[in-house]
Amino acid sequence: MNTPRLFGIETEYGITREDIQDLDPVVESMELVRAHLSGKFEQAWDYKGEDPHEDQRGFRVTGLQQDREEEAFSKLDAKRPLSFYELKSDLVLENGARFYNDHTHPEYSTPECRSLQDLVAHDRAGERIVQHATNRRNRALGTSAVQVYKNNTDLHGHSYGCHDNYLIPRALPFEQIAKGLLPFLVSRQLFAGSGKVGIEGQDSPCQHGRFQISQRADFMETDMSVDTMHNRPILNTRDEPHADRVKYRRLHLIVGDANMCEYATALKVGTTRVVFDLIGLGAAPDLELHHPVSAIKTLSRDPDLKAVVSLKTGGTLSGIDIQAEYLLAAQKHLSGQDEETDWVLRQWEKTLDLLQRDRSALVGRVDWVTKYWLLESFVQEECLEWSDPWLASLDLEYHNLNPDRGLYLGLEAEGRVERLCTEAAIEAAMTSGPRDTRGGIRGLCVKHFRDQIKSVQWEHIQFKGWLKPRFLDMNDMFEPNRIHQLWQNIEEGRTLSQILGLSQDTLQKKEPGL
Amino acid sequence: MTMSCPPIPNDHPLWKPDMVTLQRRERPLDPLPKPPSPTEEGGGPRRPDPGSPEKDNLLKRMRKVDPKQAERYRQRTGE
Repeated sequence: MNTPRLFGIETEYGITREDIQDLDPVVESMELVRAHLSGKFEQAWDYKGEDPHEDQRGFRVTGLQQDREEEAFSKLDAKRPLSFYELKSDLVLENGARFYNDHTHPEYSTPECRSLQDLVAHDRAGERIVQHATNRRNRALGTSAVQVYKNNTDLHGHSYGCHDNYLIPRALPFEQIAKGLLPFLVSRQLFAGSGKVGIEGQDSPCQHGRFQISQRADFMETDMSVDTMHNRPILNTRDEPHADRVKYRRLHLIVGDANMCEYATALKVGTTRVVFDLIGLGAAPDLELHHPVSAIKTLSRDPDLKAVVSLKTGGTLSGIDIQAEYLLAAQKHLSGQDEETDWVLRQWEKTLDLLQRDRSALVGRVDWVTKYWLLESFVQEECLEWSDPWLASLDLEYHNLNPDRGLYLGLEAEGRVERLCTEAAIEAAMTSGPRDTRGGIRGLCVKHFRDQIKSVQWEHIQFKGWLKPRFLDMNDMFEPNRIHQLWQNIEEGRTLSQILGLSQDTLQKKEPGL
Repeated sequence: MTMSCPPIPNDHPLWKPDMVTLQRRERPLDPLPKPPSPTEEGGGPRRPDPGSPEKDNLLKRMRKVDPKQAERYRQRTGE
């Protein structure tokens, strides 16, 4: 199946102010996003094409579990002197990313990327952009009280997400995707988990005393669902392709942790993309877990990696066993496909081996191993019990984006973590999108035609200045040479009319049916 | 909660060289392949700084963390 390789990451950040007790997270999150701006906020994001009620399984739900809660918050927000759009403060950046206030969390969505190299650089660029906004917000307040965390829990029963997204062919039946993907997602945490002190549940406080592999596993309540905030699924079935619906699906995976380690980000997305390739070939391992929700928690709560989970067909497998089954299938069917796939296969194998043989070699590569190592060292140095609440504070601080405070960033500053991209690449990604995806084109349009943009969605840009609005349709803008040609046309200084005229010829432009 | 500090046994993993000093990796063993597209500015892996890390720096940073910080940290549920 000839579907372009495309992925991206959305991260909801935790935000706090240390100088006030009754934080208004709606306002704080909005103000932080707006701190990115030099000028006035202008609404550009087009919400009309978004519908989280469509389900990949072929139906549309009438309501989501969070709707009632959302409605209650909306009523409260309606009393504020700010419109919905002002509260959301949706920004589209010059690198093609989206930065906005989502559910009281500053959220940064990378532009669509075609390579892991670009994805890692853009994920890190997102951290820097969010931290720059935090610095500006602090300067405006005259404090250093605002802190932002790239994690997934407040350790009091409230979780927020880091979603990895993949473009896949619509022709691949969702049942096949679900069957092939679930055991992989349940065990992916072995190298993609960010680690957590304690055990918690939705709206229930954390019980300290144990270290577990994943931040999110405690919040998984069902195998599959279109919901995202309550009754959280291991496999989210939301059907919003943000592309030509006839040709494509977007798999919106909400089970993952936010990663600080570049290596973990690359391996998480790289292996998942490889598993989609396997499923497309009909070559995914024939595994079916007896109870995926119990399994994901069981594996997360066993950092010794000895726990086993039951299969529907009888028998048990460890998390390493499950991952090894996927790795073997991928090595058999996908070796030699391309350089990036081979890199993923080598690192996947090496990581599974090191997890069993010499975990210390994964410090600086795998977040939960790195955090566990830090905390274990601290427990020894300070003679603490694992139930000491200080460890929860250290857990939180591991994810702080403030380079003077964050524990991961402290390790990185000392050169103790493995870097996959350069500082120059991160800086470039802060102002420019990938040159081979529509994300790059989106950013370039923001850079060159900002005043002529009426609205933006993932799959199109609407321009003003004509009797009828004109669109750059990006529903099927995935072919790198076409994108490169458009990129060149824009950079050569052609007018918007020329660009849109050319795109009619070369990009199969059509007006989306909104 | 603190308690009296027992001696750390000699065979504890804390004393393993990697766990104590977390030896600096002079270069990534297997860099990510560069993308095939023309996004070459600054691509490729970063060579870590050559200086020797001080374990104490990080422990100092950890000791500065307010033990009550997590207790105060509250967020609303997100997606």
